[in-house]
Order: sequence, then C-alpha cells, then structure tokens
Amino acid sequence: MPKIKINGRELEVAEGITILEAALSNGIYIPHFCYHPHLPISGNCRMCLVDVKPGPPKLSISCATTVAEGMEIETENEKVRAARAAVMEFILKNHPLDCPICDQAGECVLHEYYMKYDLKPSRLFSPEDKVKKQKRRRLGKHVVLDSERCILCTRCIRFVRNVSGDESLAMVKRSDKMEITTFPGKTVDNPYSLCLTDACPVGAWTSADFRFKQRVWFLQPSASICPHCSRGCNIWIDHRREEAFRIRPRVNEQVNKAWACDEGRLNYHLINDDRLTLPLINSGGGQKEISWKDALKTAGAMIAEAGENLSVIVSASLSLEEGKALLSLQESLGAKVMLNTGEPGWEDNILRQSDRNANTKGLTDLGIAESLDNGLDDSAVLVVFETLGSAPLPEGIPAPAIVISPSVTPAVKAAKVALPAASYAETAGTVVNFMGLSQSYSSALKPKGQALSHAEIIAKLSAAAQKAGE
Amino acid sequence: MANDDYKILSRNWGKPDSHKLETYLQSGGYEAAKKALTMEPQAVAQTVLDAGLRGRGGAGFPTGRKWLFMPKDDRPRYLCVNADEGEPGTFKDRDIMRYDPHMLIEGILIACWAMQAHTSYIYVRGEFTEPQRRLEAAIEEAYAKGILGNRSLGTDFRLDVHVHSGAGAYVCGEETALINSIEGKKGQPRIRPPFPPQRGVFDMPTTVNNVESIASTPYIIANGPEAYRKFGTEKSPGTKLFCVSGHVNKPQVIELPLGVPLMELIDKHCGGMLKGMKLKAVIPGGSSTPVLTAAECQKVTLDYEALAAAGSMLGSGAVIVMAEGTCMVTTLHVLTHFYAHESCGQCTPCREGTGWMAQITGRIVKGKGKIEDLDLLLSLANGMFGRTICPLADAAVGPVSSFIGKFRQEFEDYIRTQKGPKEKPYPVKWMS
Amino acid sequence: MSLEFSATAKQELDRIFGRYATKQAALLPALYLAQREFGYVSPEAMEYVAELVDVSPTRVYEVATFYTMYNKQPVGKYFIQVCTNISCALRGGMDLFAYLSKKLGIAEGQTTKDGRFSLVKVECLGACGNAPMMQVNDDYYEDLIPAKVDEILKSMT
Repeated sequence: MPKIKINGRELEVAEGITILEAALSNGIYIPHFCYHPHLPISGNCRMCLVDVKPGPPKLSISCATTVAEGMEIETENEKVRAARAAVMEFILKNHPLDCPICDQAGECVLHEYYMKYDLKPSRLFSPEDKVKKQKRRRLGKHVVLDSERCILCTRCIRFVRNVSGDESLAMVKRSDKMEITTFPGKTVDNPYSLCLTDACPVGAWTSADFRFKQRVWFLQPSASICPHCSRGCNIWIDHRREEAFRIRPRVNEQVNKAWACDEGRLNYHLINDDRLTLPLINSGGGQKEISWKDALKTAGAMIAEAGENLSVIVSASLSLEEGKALLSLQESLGAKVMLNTGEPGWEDNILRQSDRNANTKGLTDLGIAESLDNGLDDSAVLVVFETLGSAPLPEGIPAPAIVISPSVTPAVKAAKVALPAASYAETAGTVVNFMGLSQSYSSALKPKGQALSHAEIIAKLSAAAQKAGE
Repeated sequence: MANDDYKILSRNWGKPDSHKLETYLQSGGYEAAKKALTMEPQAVAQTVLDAGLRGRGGAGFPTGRKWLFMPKDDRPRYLCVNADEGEPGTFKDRDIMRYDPHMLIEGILIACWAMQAHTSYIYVRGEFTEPQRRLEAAIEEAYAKGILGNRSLGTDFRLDVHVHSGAGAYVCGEETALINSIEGKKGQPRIRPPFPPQRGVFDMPTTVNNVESIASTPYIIANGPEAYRKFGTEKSPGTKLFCVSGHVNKPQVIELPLGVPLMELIDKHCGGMLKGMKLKAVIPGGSSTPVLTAAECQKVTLDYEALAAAGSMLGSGAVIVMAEGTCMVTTLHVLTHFYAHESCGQCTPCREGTGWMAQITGRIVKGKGKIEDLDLLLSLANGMFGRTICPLADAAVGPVSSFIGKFRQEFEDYIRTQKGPKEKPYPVKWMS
Repeated sequence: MSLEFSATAKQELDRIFGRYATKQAALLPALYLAQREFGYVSPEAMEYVAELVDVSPTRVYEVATFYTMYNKQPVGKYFIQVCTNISCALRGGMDLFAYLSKKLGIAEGQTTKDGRFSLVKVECLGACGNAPMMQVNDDYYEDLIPAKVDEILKSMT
C-alpha cells in the first residue's frame, strides 16, 4: 500500500490506482471532465493536471498517473491553478453562450468549474472567432446533440463503445473542427441512449423528452428503485409540485453502476399520466365514481360471496411488505394468490432483465409461488392487484371483479369495482432483484387523489370481506 | 581525412541509378548488415549507443538507448521507421528514400537484428509517391536477393519490411500517432505510459526511429563508433542532413558534420544569401524551433547543445533562411495556420489554442489586429506549453513566442499602420 | 447499385492483409484503393470498405475525415495542390497560387467547369529546396516559374 502525500497530507492508498482516484476517495477534489469512474480513461481534457514530485517538470494528468511510493502531489499550487484556468479559457473560447436556454444549467460541470477555478473575464475580443458547428440535431429517438456546446471529452463515445456496446457514434475531422456525430443518415438508437445525457458534463447531449420542460434547480430529487424489470436499477425521481419530470440513474456499483435504460427512465410518464384517482363502480350502466366506503362495501360483499372461487392475481412488482399482507389475506380468505409475471421481455448483458417485474424473487421466496398459467375457469372471481406498468391480464380469463391499480388500465376499465392504489413513487417498500439483493425505496410523491397504498387497501378489503360475511 | 569523408548518408547520391541494388552493392552495401548479423544483438545496440547517434527526426534521443529499451519477453517486436517528414522546411528523408533506399533497408536490417524484431513498417507520408515507389522497388530487389525474407543474408533471421502510406496528417510524425495510423486508426497520439516498447503496434513492443537515424547505422557498424565520432562534436557526434530552404542561392539537402557554423552552411555551401540580400532571420531546425535573429545567427553552430544554448533547437535540421523584406507577421500566420490545420483535436489546449492563435494572426495580417492581440498570443502560448498529450502544441508555441518575442516592434508597427494584408510580404518576385 | 472492387483491387487488398496482424490495419490502404476504384470516398464507399476490413462504417468515417488525402467529394481530373507553407511562401508560393487561380478561373477549393482541374492550397509537401512547387494527383512539380506552369497545364488534357 504505497504512502503518498497530497497537498502535504499523508495518505496510504491502494496499489495501482491513479492519483485522481486516490484523491477523490480521500475527499480531495480534482476537477475533471473526461474522467468517468465507469468509463475507460481518455486523458484528453487536461483539466485534472497536477504537480507531481518526483517527476517531470511538466504537470501530469492525475487520471492517468499511477500512484507510487513517496509521491508528493500538489493539486492547488500556482502552476496547477494557472493550468486549470487555461483549460477553462480554451473550452469557453468556442463554447456558445447558450446558458439561458440550455437544459444543463444548474447541473453543468463547466458552469461550476468556471465559478470555482476561473472567474476570469473573456479575452475573446472578436466573438466572430467562435467556431460554428451543428446545433440541436435529433440524433436518436430520445437524444439531441448540440456540437457547439460539446467540449469533446469523448465520454459519449466511450459510453457507446464500452457500455452499450455499439458503434453508433463517431468523432470526425480534426483540430477545432472536430465533431461528434453519427454515420451519415444513421441514428443513436440503443436502449441506453439517454445515458449520454448523464455522461455528458455539459448541455451537448440533451433529452428530447425533457428539453425545455423544467429548470433543474426547481426539481426535488427522490431516491427510488425502478420497478420495470428485475434488476431494480437505482434511480432518482426528479419532481416538482407532485409532478415527475424525469428519472435519472443513481449510482450503485453492484446493480446498475451509473446507468439506466431509456424505457425505464421514460416510464416516469406513468407516474403522471392516466392515474386512477377515485374508486369506480360498474353496476351495468358504465363506470361511475363512488366513495371508498361504498366501494369497499360492494367489494367486501363480492369477496365474501365468492368463497372458494376467489382468485387473487398480483403483479410481481408488489413489495415484500405488500406481499406479506397478501399472504395474510390469503390465509384469512382462503383465496389462491397467483403471480402475474407477464410475458418475458428481451434482455441483454448490460442492464435489462427479461423478467419485467421488480420483486418476482422476493415474492416467490415469501411463498407466493403459484403462477397464473395454471388456468382459471369461468367461475373464478378475480381480485387483481396491479402496479405501475405491470403486465396486463392474459387473454381468455374471465373479466375481473375487483381491480386495485394505480393507473386506468384495460383491467380497470373491465372491472366491476376499481380501487385507486398508490404507485411505487408514492409508497415505501422493499423489493428483491434477480441477484437476490434487497433494495428499499421510499415515497417521492403524495398518493394521487384518493388513492391508498396497496397495504392499506388489502387491510380494508379484508375487513370489508369479514364484515360482509357476518 | 579526405574532403568529403563525412558524406556518410549521401555518398551515393548523384550516382546514376543510385537507388538500385547493384549500385549499392558496388560500394560495399550490406557488408555492415552482414557484420551485424554475426554480432550479439545487444552488442549492435551498444555500438550504436557508443557512437552517440541521436534521433535525427527532431527529438535527439540516443538511438542505441531506444533500441535497448525493448523488453526481452517473447512477444513479436516491431520497428517502425518514421518517414512522415512533415515538419515545414524538412525534405531530407525524401532524398534518402529516393536516392539510396537500400541504405535505409540495410539500416533497418541492422536495427531489427539488434532488437530481434522480425517486422518493420516504413511509414511514409502519403504525398511522397516517388519515395514510396523507390522504396517498394528496393524492397522487392532485397527480397529477390535474399536480403529480406525468411533467411536474411543467408542466416536464420527472418525479416519482413513493408511500406505503409500515410494519408495527410503531420501529427502522424509523432510516434504513438504513427503507431495508431499503422493500426488503421486516426493518427491521434496516445497517452503515455504505456510507452511503445511496452505496448506499440498491435500492442506489441515497438521502437519508432527516424529514416535518417536508421540510415546512419550501417556506417557505424561497418566502421565502429570511433569512426563516427571523428565527425561532429563531442555531445553531437556524426553527420547531419541539413535542409536549407528560403532565401539562399542554392537551396538543397546537404550533409555536413554536426557543429558546422550556421553562416558557413549558408555562405560556403548554399551559395550565400539569395541575390545578395541581407539576412534577417533563420529558423534553424524546422518550423517548430524558435527563430534566430540575424545577430544570433552569426556565432551559432548547428549542433544540439549550441542551439539549445541559443534558446532554439537543432530539430530536424531544416534551416529556413529569411532575408530582409520578409514580413514576420505574414510568416507567423503561415505557421499558425499550419498548426491549426494539423492539430489532431484530441486535447483541449492544442485543439482550441492552435485554432485561436491562427484566427488572431489571420486578423492581424488582414490589418484588423489590436495591440492587445500580441500579449494575448503569448499568454495563449503559455497556456498550451507542456499541457498536452503530445508536443504538437509545444511546436505551435515555438514560432509564436519567438517571432513576437524577437520581432515585437515589427508586429506593433504592422498593427498600427497596415489597413489590409501587406502587398509584398516577401522580397522575392515570383519569376525567373 | 452497390459498389465493388475490381478483381485486381481485390487481389491487392489480399496482399495488403498479409502485411499486418489485424484486418483493421489495412484500412488506410483500403481507402486508397477505394479512392482509385470509385473516384472518391463517398459514404457508400466507406460502408463497402468497412465490410472488407471488418470494422464499423463509423470507424471508417472517422478515419476518412481525419486524413486530408481522402477526397470526400469528387475532384477534377487533375487535382492541383499548391504548397503555401513557409519555405514555399518565402519563394513565391502565394503568387504561384494566385497565378493558377487566375489562369484557371477558379477560387480555392473549386473545380473548373469542364471538370479538368481542381485547385487547393496545402501544407508543407517536403520539397522545400525546390520551392515554389505543387502536387498534381500523385506527382510533384517543383522549381516552378510561370512558363513552366503554363507548359504543365497545357500537357494536362
């Protein structure tokens, strides 16, 4: 374990790591653009230059210099400060003054670094010297590239080549005419294209979905777990005034590193749109809104009447806590509880799992193992618990009697009684991913309208059924 | 010592069919290689090191030491010969390749034996069609004669040599960019470590040497290090091909011992100043080396130490002579335009800095410059120097700092008085 | 209509592959072959070459745009490249360019209407002792004076 000094502070660090890694892991910040902990080293931005002794008279890039016993590194002396300010000036020379319309404002590394390491006035006495490049090109279904804002750190190139594993991006030409682009006529359409917007330290890559929607300083980030497949990527739900605006990945070395898939991210729309907010009943003349009291009374009666024919179909994304509540329901009502895991989807060796549910492993380990495939006959009285975006009911089963769901789904529309449930974004819970890892989430938003959590609804249904049976 | 004993590299130039194998063999060609193949590889490298041969491409690093850096593991090894010759003012390797390609091939054989490399690529810039064709023909002759191939010169040593053409990028003269270019990639320099001896072409141990350095080795092996050290100075032994261009009566490539006084090169060997014009400035080693004023030229000798002491560099030995009447402002812009065009674009200071400097000098030339621009240029130069992946940025800084530093008054006068580009930036009328 | 190399070009490419440890290393030579066979390096040519050397079209695109000697647009039958770097400038390279531009009636980067000549400025060609000079297609023309230039142009039919 080599002993080194950074700014006079003695540190014992791991063998074979870089100066930058040693510094960052010891709370010493060295500014950098092109370095990314989950991408290969590039060494092109030159922002992380530090003074190393013993060493060459030139400054060294800390991202690519391995620590050695006895190294003394200075990260804040005159030489280093001057070098940083120079890099900032060189980047800003061609950087467009887009801040007032750029989505990145508020989370822009270039902006932050200007305030911390530069604060010098521009010496671009002739603004027409700014190199013009292509702006706001829709280079993929979800992403927009502005080449003038691009600082050519190559994180996006390294992302597609090393993480999403494709050849969709090129860095063409040379000198200050260099640009990131796609092969003529082609687009970036891998399932992780929105990761480019996270990897990009400036507003060059932006999300077409999020563009101009909200200033990030108004957004509240809440930590959560994506429920749309069994990986359970860690995410941030960014919201304001009870509306979700975007989902970003949250770093978790074991589960999803720094990445998330486009589909999972864009499913934040499900949190906002088509939510079931009031109980509904269909007594023959179409669905009408009713009160919880009346809904529960009707539902309770239906359950009590069903007796042995009662079947409970649940989304495999319900949490462990909700699962436990279901098991007690199963006991008290003697109903068959079945998991609706839905059709397996495509999977890859990056993030996506074919199991499109958050908690299949957790729920089956709890004992809810019976699969929906085991056939239901016409006499079955179905109580269906759905979660946000969960699998629809398969063809050929009888129309559901009671549906508990966060959204207005086909099942909800077909139900006799529909009860509004909170989604994962509005409750707390624990899910177990395909690795067997337990992950918890807590609520980001308040339940919509009169929605209640699944756990509360289960308790109330149980009570209503008991009462009706007396 | 006969008058031109020191014509080591250029001894066959001027002979009819000098590029042909027969001609080369007639004057003792490939005897040095035969001798080398009987020596221990390490001993060959040591001999070259003892002779004090320094890299003739511009860096001046001891060639023998470079060879000794190669690791002793059993991965396949490569020698890449740098024939990219892109430094403005340089045109010497072109003549070696077209007039005496076999001297280069013999040197390659010696170098590869010393390093136990079985493959060599001669990376020739794309524009050099004639040198490429001459090299390819010479290589074919060498294979036919059993000099190259599975049993080189009748021994067990296998050597394959190939010409690889560049495609128009000065930056490929940088050794790791050259390696990337051979691999079929963009010529972008690599961050180091790892260095080419550890991971070079195809990730294998590689040494990159300049054409002139390699071509100097047959003489050293044939005659020994002491013979080589007879020429030149103590720290800069041997001979150098000087490329003299610009305002002299006889621009040419001429081989002379290192240490020759600059003014002797111009006056005695190159016919003196063009049409008797007065000397204004000289760039001594290619466009990247700091310019010398006429006064500085008077005492300076052309070797590594003297030029370093004079604040410049021997570089590639490309001596660019400028007479009075040469506009230093226009000339600086020609150079900043060059570096901006050639920057590979990878790292921030070079990519943006070279571009910006070219824009500023361009504006000054057009009569739209401001006095502040001069200090800005010097400041940008400081911001670039020593901060980049490869020395291209440092090279761009050379002319900017030295031209403005030494001809400041001229720049200020230009800015104050010129309303547009200078009508006659050069004292030569394009005629005759 | 998809592009394809002639039999000779394919043979040459096979020889070229034999020189290197990877297929990708043949990319620069392959692009030259494509330029010869197809006239210039178009996106279609890039896709074809990509298949031949087993790399993505994206990488070929990067390489083709990095190096100046691959023509991404068609050029005239005679592609005149005039050096205007320092040693040539000192000996009249700028005047040489202006002379050609006037004589051919085209500006930098343009091609004559009959498709015969294209004219560009280039950086140092490594023939500084014979300045001013120019490269036309594969050949160097050095020690140029106006009369010599006229002769050369006349010979280029």
